[in-house]
Amino acid sequence: MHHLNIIAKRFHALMLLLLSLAISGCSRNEPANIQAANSQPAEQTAPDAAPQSSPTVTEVNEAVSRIFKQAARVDSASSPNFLAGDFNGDKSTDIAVIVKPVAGKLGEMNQEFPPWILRDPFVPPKPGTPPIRIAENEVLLAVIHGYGPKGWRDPEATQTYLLKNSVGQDLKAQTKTEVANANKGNSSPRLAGDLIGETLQGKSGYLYFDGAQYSWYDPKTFKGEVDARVVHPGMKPNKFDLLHPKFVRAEK
Amino acid sequence: MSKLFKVLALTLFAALALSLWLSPATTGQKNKNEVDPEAPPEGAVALAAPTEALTTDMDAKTDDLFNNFGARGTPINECVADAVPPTARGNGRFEDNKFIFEEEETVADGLGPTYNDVGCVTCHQAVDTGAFGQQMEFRAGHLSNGNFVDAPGGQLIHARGTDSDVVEHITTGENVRAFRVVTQALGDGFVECIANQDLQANVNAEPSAQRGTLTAVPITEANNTLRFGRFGWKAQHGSLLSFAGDAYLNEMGITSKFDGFGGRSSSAADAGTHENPATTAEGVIDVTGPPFDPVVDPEDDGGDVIAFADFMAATRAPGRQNPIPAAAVRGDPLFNQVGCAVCHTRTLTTAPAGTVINGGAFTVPAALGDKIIHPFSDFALHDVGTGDGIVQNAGQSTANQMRTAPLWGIRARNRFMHDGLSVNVSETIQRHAGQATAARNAFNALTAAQRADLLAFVLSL
Repeated sequence: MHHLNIIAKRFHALMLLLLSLAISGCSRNEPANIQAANSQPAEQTAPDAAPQSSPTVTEVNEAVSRIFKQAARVDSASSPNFLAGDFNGDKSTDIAVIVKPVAGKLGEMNQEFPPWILRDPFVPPKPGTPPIRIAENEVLLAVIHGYGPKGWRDPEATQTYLLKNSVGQDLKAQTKTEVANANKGNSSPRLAGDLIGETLQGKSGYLYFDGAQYSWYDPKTFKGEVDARVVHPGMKPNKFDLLHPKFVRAEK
Repeated sequence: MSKLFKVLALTLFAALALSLWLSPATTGQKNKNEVDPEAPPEGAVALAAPTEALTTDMDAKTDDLFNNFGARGTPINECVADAVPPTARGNGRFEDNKFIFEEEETVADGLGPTYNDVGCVTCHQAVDTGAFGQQMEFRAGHLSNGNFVDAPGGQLIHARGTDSDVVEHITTGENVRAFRVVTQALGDGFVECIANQDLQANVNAEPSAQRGTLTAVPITEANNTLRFGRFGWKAQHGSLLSFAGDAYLNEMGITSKFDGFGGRSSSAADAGTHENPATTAEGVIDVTGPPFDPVVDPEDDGGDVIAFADFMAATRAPGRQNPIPAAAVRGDPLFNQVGCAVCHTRTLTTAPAGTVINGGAFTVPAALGDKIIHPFSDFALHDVGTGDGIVQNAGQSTANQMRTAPLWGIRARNRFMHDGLSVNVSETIQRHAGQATAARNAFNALTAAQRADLLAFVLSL
């Protein structure tokens, strides 16, 4: 037994020695903020955001005012009119709020360079197309992305996607797992974070963040990524090239 | 027991030694992340103060691309004579190199078996040879224990193949997917000539919350000596030869001694994992030999790659809009005021002529040395909330970081960010988050008129 203890101590000492050698080898002369080939793998996903208390109406109103000043307010006719979740998958809690333009403030909502991203999830943006507009009394979904551990409550949390044609019935925040379990056998897009499930124009589906914008996912009809992202569509091999004498020779 | 201990110790030591030996980045290196300072030769006398780099007006109708690096030559008329590729950097002629950059490759040249396009200029053309393109590169992989893993056969999923049987497809399991728009290469010769320590000093001066991460990447032509990366969306290349050799292999499927694998991929024991393998419906198949890829490796003797590198090195930097609109003049100071300039560094100066860079493989020529440039980039990686999840050669921690996009010449494109999914500058700024949150919020705090002025400034670059 004594013998085993000595071995164990020696083994631990060796491990410590090797560890210290490895650590010193990694840190010696290393400038700050440099990543090199073969740097140690690190978890790509940060730990989940700390659980937060349920949003209060006051907090939600404050967040909406932070973004839209007095130009839009929470739509009191909708219920529920806000949902919390990590919709962009950055481990910081976001909030989706149903809002309406304030009477007389439509000009501010349609300003040329708004501090939000106005999108219609059903219409992919294209260069040169006229900007989409917000109509009077239009019901919109504002997704305010969180910042840091305080999430959407942080005063710095202002990145906002303002979505047209996105408010239906039975809105609810759902995790990727919940959506996957509910739609087994159906293909799905790459999901960054939580989804907003709802019924829009009689069809059940989900709003999801694809890394650049919010898109609509209907499990019954989803076929793949949007066409706007297709690379070099329709390319076929150049038959003339394939008949080049050098190619034919090599093939034989 | 003592014997057991010795065996155990020997095994551990061997494992450690083996892991260090197998680390490719350590070849000839004192430290895996260490890059050499790139200073002028001892005894060199400082010449006149640095001068502004020559610029192009970003107008294809104007013949103003050449920056005086090497000889200019005369435009090539292929009915009269073929272009002559250089045999070493700097000994070719600009017009020959430009012609080679604009050539379309064929299967007989080694194109494919899988590839993205048929020539450099097919992607780098807007508004002039060497500039932007709207084409997208597609990369894919998946997560394993939180780490990014390439799709089988490689993360780059080529859009084309020389045979429909080898066109790549990905499985649903490869759910980390990213599209990256073409970067522009005008003025990259000046970028290549920025010394390592100058990039480091610039990044060190950034506030800690915004500080970028420089990548230490291998220089192919210098036995994989490490240098700070500066080219590509992940700053994955540090020299124009490495960049061009990689692109010839990965975008066109043409092997060369500068491709990162010694131009031997088809004959290598691990053939099928390096040169444009195809992830097909039947899985990963070896497509590197006949009938799919009949040309013997290396498919290029390196001359084309040197021509590509020297063409880029001999291009002028993108110049400002001329005349500069009044709104852009008003927006100029706002760019610094809101914090854009922290990462989008306005001004850098190239190393003095005579400085040996690229791990000893290139000496800064007079045309590129001591030049003041305005790339509006620190060439470092940052997390601004738009990371594509792809890891290249700078480690897992960089999965969601992207190189600060150089803004020079940006007025010549209308699809922004790495994915090209923002179609105006205002929305592009709104997509900035993470390390750029404070700058975005400061932009939003400007008046509407100030925001318009700042956007006009950006579109004057």
